[in-house]
Amino acid sequence: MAKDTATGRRKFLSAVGGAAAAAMAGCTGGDGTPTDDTDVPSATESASTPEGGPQPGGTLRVGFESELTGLDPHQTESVVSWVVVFNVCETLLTFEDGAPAGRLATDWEIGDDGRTYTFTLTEDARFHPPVDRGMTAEDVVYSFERMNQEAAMGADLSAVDSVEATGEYEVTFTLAETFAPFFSFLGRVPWVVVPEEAVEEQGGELGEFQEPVGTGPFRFEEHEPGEQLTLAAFDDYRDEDAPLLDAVEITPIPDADSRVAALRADDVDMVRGVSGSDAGTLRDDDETKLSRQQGTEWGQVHINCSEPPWDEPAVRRAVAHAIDRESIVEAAVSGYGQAAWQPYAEDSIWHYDLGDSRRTHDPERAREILDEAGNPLEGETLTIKTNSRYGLMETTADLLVAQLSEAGIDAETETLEWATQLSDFVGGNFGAMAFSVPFKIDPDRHYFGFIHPEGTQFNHYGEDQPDAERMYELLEQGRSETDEEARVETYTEFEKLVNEHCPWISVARADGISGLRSNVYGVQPWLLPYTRYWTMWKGK
Amino acid sequence: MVSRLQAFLVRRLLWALPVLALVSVTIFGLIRLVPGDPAIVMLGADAPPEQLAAVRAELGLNEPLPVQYVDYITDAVQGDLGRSYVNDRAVSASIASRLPTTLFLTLAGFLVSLTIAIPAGLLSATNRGEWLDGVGLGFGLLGVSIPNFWLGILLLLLFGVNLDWLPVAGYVSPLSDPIEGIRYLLLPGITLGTAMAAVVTRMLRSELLEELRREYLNAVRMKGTSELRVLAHATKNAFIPVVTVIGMQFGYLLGGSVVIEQVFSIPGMGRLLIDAIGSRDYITLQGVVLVYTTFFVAVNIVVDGAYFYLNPKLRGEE
Repeated sequence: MAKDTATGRRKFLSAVGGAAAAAMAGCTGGDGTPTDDTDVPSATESASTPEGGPQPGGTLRVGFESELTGLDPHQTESVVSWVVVFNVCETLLTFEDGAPAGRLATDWEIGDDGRTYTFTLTEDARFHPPVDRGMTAEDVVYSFERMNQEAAMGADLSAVDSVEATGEYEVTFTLAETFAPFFSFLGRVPWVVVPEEAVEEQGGELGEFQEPVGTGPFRFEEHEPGEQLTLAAFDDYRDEDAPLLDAVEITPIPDADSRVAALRADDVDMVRGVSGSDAGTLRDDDETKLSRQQGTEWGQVHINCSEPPWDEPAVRRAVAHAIDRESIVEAAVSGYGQAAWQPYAEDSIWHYDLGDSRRTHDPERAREILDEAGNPLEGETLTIKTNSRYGLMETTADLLVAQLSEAGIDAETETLEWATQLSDFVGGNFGAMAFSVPFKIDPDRHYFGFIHPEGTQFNHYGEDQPDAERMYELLEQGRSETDEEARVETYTEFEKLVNEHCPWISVARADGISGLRSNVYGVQPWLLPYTRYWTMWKGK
Repeated sequence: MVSRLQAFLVRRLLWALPVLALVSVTIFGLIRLVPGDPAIVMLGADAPPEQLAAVRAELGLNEPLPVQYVDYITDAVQGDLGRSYVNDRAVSASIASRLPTTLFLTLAGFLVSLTIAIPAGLLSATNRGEWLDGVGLGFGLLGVSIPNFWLGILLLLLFGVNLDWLPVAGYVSPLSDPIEGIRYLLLPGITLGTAMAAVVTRMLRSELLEELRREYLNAVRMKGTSELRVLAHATKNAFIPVVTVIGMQFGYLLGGSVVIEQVFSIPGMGRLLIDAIGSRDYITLQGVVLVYTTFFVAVNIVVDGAYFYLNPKLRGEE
């Protein structure tokens, strides 16, 4: 075990910090209040925070974009359920101001070999009633074993060889081999600590723990599926200043127009999932405001590189030049986002400046590339699959077809139902599709699954494709290398190759927008789209 | 006469059984023909293949379809509709908690539509060609033409947001709080009931106009009966076909509630259905559609029974 914990920790801080800072860019000012530095104006709470500071008490009524899909922390996979779990249960780590910070862990050491991670736990964490006891290392071991079942979060934990309680408040993870993204994984919502007796009380099986008990600032109070979920403040929470609210009431309001109407009518205090077009209405209304988190969603055109004519690199390169990203951002999210050539924004350490090699909107260049390749699209009509559920994907496909025709390429969209498109994506049943994925902290989480044959290889980038072997190699290095600078170099080379061969075409980073009543304060947008209700409060 | 009605109903009930059996097979097959994999929807695009396989196995999706069907139907006839793929909740419990909501909504729509349609139909028919008739016909045309989700959003913006008289989203059971319950049901009820009101108004108007032309009414008039009583005679007869339409419309209201529940964020069967489709939660979807179908079949039987009872000719033939 390394004695030089400071180095290990510092190394990691900067590695994750860069990515984190990128995600936070433009949305958090120095005082922690959201600001906005782009040309899209945004109502911010800093302008209207009343004097006297935070006021305790009150119930926050929140409108969610969909019903909760179950609350067992170790099985549920929907963002809305994770928001609830995130406020009730706690992970070992989280991210503060763009850097990793302890949540249940107060300190950690990373072994010299990069395979052992030892965490010191807080001694003040208590489980909610009816368990009502302190949390210890055994609870961490139990929870990780529970989530390491096949149907649970198993795959994420495949790098973990063993989890041991090496003290009452100390846990040691040993990895089978070095795995750089491991640390940032520990901040993921499903990796929360729960007490065994509460799980057993509710049946014990995976999926049966529907009334989660944790150590978080809010405790689960009541859930009438489809109607309402109530979280109540946990009075014995170890941070005496949190939570400020007495309770949070969550109501699903699936229709986007109804959700905005409910906020404007003061039926709720906060709504998630505000579209770019509705954002303007809420911004202009004196009684409502916005909270904006930049770059929560990364939109691409995904390509199946084994499917003709997309197996021809020239076709992919031409399409990359045909896309007008700015117009897509304007049309799809009303400017609440950025044209993007990669998932990480300019100030992230994972961002590589492609300079002039960047494939910008240039229909003439697209024609040239196709001419040079002997017109492989002669007589072909490209199909871009998409769905009508997600505006970014639908608009990307619609505009892309129009932009391709500018470059002399025939194309059409095929609009599918979302579940169908998702199955086609996973099953490789597509040539190209407009797609988007949530922002991920570590580049490994984005790229490995797209390209590497040991991952899901969504892009079907086979060995016959240019530089395929080198790209696989780089992804392996990115995983196993723990030195930050070396990793940055690895992903820089990888990004260059992506830009050159276009296994996918990056389109935009779209923002996550929530609507708030003007008397709601304390929202702290951070890395991931899970609201921390414990920092929020309601003024008069 | 009652025994004939009973025999008629028993026959209809027996007919309903093969209908339901056929429906269950159809639902089961059709749902599985729809592309999309529940495991992928549950776990997301970046779930590894092993995890997907484990979830599929756990959900029993790897069994041959006939085996899955037999398992399902064996449990279903015993009242066990299975457990949701998504949240592990018993489907019968989900349906039981949502069915009353949808029935209240449907009832609200039904009451609104009859409250509008019966006076409107009567006034239209008795004032044929005059402005009242024009209003009735105009309403009828608009009611069937305006998509109800659009009407819902307009009402919601006007009464919920701009005037702030009524709540915009959610539901309170009229059983737990009658006043709040009605406040929550008013806008959805109007939205849902308008289309049916339009259909019934037009139907009642045309049936009544036809009836008023019949010669037997002259005989009635010759006896010196007042026009109001003449109208009452005509209305009673005009109602026979209208009752059938009203009954059928009740079934359509049940279907229409799916959209209304979405617009007004009402946690009823419709939303359960839509969520189940989106997440390919086959087991919940089957249960919900089966319950909808059962209601539709039941409404049909009641309508047939009512028609049989109201129509002396039918009774004579039996």
